[in-house]
Amino acid sequence: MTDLSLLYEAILKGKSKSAVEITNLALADGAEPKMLIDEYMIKAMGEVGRRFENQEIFVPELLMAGRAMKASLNILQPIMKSSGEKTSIGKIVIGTVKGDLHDIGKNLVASMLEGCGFEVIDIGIDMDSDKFVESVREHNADVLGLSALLTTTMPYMKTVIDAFADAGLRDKVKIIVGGAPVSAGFAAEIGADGYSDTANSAVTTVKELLGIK
Amino acid sequence: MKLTPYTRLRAMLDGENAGNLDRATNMNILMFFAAYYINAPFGKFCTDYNTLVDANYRCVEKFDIDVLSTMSDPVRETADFGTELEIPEDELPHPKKVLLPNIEDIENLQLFDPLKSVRILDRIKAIERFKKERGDEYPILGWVEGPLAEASDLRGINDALIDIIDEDNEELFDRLLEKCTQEAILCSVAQVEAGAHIIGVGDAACSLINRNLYRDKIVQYEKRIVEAIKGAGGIARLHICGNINHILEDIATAGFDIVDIDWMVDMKKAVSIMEGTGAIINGNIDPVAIVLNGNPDIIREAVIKTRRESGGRACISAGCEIPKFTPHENLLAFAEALYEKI
Repeated sequence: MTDLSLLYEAILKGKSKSAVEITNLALADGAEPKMLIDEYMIKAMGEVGRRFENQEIFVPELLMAGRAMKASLNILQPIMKSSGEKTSIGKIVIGTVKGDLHDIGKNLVASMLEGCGFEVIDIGIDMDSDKFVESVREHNADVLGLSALLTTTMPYMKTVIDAFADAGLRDKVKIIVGGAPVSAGFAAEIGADGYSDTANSAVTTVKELLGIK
Repeated sequence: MKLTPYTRLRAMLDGENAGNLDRATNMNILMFFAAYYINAPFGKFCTDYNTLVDANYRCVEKFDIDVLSTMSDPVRETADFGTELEIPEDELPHPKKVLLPNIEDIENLQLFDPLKSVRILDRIKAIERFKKERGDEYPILGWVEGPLAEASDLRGINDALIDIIDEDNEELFDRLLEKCTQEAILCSVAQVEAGAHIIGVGDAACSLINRNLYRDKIVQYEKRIVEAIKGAGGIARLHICGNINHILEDIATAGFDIVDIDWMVDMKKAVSIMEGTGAIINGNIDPVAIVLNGNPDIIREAVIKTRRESGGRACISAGCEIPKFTPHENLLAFAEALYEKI
């Protein structure tokens, strides 16, 4: 039998090739994809988030872990979909707002959310309000994540939130905001549902907003 | 003797305590703010040295800033390496697509001559004009991207931050860092020869990596850039945005004369770590919560607190760029608080 703790270790250490190899071996042994995700992979990403929060690891290690997680998910999710299993605990559209080209913070949040069991639709950088509305509607997302690194672009977050109200979608989606200049006070001021200042706390915030324990 | 901005900074670098000078040194970074202050589109500020120079003159005089700066955007070298840029009228210039989508593309990356380039030459022309018109009254600040920052601009930051720890790409990424360092040296020396007193080395991505990576992979390259700047007669300044508490001790080994710290860095700790290295600290007031969103009273209090924490061994500035829409009264309050006896 495959030692599944090695899958946990491979993701924790960001070893994509090992993660893929162990995932395939585990499936050949008859392991359930959902069990692999819930018991090993999500737990590994939880530990990655904890270490990142405590500055025991930094961005490269987090990106590598996210890449390893994704490599395994790419094998497991099609199998789960074909058997009608639910592959995520919630759907999130995420993007950086218009005028802002920074994507590292957004990518870290996306990677952590994905690693913790959410389906993430990353629509990219420099996105206008219409695109956010269109994407949330198209994917029927539970949560929208808005990112901005510049003081000149953060006011656009309110424009996006207002666009959801105008489209009659504001009560259908939770909106969280983040980025270096963004604060909890600013989030409250513009009517966001949540704010996060780290990739790890974004996961906690989203789970709280969706009532996921 | 009346101090000029240059002699004020020189005194600090020579070990004088700011408390013994007429006022603390004001090293605020103005880019978007400076363009906006003279009603110039930011794209023009980045591409036309006369606009940049005029904006600097207006700002240093109005807000008691102690440096004439050529900082504008992080993609000057990136463009001269061959990256095609999008230069919006009033936003930050950025690559249309990264020059090195695959790390193997490093084979085709050629160094350029700063004096035959476009965007670095524009910066050199700004330095020449500053020097011709103001001589040594103000320190003139040239700028280069540090090795990891430039590698990130050429590769895309996500790929660069994976390359740096991906064993499969280690050798090729080291070659990219080497090439970026060689170019930074060429550009630094050319700017000092044109009249720059200080060369700022912007290596923002370093706040995102762990201490071992910074010490083992980056410091050796930064040291070579510092040696080249000093060898040409310049002052070497390091600017890394973000939290660098974890790498301060390694930064102290690189030989910089001025080390910028952002608002989340511990000023007392930074000053203490640099003690005995010859380096002075510059920073570190929160540019958004205090400078942009504060009021003159809040700013005065923050400046005084930062000066006290530094024990007179730091130049004072916001931790990073002054935001574009900062109220003018806030920057005036910033300058006034530098004169107060504490």
